[in-house]
Amino acid sequence: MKNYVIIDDDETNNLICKIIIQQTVPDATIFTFTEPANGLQQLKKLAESSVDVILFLDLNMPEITGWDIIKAYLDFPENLRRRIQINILTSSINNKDKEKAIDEYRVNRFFSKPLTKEMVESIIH
Amino acid sequence: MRAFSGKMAGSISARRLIPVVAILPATLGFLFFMAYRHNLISSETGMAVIILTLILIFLFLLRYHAESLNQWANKRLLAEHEVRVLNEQLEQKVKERTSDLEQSEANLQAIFNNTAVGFLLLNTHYEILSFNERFKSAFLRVYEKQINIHQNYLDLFPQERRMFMIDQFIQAASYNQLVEYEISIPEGQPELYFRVNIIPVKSQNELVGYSVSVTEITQRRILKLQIEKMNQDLIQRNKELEQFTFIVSHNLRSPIANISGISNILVDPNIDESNLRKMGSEMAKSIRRLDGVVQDLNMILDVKKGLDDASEPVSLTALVNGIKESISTVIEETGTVIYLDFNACNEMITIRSYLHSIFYNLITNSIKYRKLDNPCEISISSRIQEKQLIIEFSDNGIGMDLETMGDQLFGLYKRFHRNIEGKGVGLYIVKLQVESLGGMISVASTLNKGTTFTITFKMN
Repeated sequence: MKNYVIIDDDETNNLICKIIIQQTVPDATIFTFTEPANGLQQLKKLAESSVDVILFLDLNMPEITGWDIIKAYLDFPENLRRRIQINILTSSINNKDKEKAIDEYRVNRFFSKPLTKEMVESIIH
Repeated sequence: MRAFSGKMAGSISARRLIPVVAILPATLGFLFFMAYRHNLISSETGMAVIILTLILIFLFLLRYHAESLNQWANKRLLAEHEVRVLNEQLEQKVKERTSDLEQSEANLQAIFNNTAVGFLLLNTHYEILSFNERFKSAFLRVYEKQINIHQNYLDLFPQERRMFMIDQFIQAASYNQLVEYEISIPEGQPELYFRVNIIPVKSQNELVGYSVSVTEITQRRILKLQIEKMNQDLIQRNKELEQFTFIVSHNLRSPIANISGISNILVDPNIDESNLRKMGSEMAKSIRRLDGVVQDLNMILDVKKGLDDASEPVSLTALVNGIKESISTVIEETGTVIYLDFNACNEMITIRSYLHSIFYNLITNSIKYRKLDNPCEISISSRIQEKQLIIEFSDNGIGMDLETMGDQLFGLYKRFHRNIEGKGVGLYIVKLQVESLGGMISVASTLNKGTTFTITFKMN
């Protein structure tokens, strides 16, 4: 698991994620996007080239939200979806968001910011 | 023998007279007979005495008869008098009773006709038997029809209404209970509300008709509607506050999470030089953001404080000119032109600071979201329509697609354009202030064409 995609309109968060992932998985390839649409495109491209991707996705963004990204992902063909592991990384402290993400959308994990090494390790192990 | 033995007055007097008319002549006859036999008296004397005695007896009888006749006559007079007195008393009583009855009927009638409830009595064929003034006047007011005794009540209503009413009557009759329903008139936009009660009237367990009572409940209903509206407003306000708390906590949390993440990286002793520098500047950025949120919060809370300011007449032209002056640099740099049309209404009595903030935010908003290849044009106009003051802000800016997120436009920290500096606070405050002034704000927009904000204030 060496491909990481981070989608969040908060640049500081993306930078923190990049450093934390690099420190935890030194040979990781990391893509960060503040534009959700571009992130989604990259996600699809990676999955189509048959590599596994770990996504860290923020929920609360203008224009296209994290929920929109998840819905778009659900429209992907099954073989692409298998490649992508969705993790929510949000500053939300709303339990409803967590329930919705895990129960309704079956996301892998729901993390509250900031991203830590322990979180990254818990995903790859 | 009956004549002697009875209890009537004649029999009694006959019995009393027997000794006089029978025993006395017999005793005298016997005494004279004896005296004659011993030659004590002559037969002529005896005859004379007997005739005298008979005359005396006759006189006695005459006197007795006269006396008793007189007595009877007296008694009859007395009795007649008594009967007359009794008769008079009876007549008096009848008069009194009649007047009591009349009074009590008048009282009942007064109650019947001077009550807030309209009454109507129908027989089983829905024929009108009786009604009171209130019912008559209410019926006239609501249906503009006179009602009369012996009329068929149902005939006064249109066919579709009749079916409903018959249902109610049947229900009252078959369950032998009060049926209650409400009517609102006219149906579309009701101005009058009534509650109708139907009670089956029975006589010896047999249905003989219906008593219909009608109470106007317009005032009560209006009050109820007001309370319901107030309640809804409160629920809405509560939701907004919840949303506000959620958004604020989220936006406070966001930079704090970043600061926490940065400090996790900074405590690592093996951190390289370039990351250290980057993290330092990111830390400063996050702290500034945090401070910004606190300042926004302060500003939003200030909106509520401003409500204590007194209302005053505010000239819309002067207000816009003041704002133009304060942002003259931006206006010049962007080549913005503001057209005003306040001919219909140039003055508004309101809280100046609020109106200033509303105008300021909407004008700067239009400049911020202008088309870069076109001069920015803003038109502000006022008009009066249906007792409402309507102020319209139109621009030729980049516009937006309201289809997808129109309802969030006025939300706190909601942003639509990521390439343009903004926090998503301005329009939230505008909405807050418009609503605090008792107005409403709405928006229409076409992508790449422009945006129009419409503010509506009720006029007093």
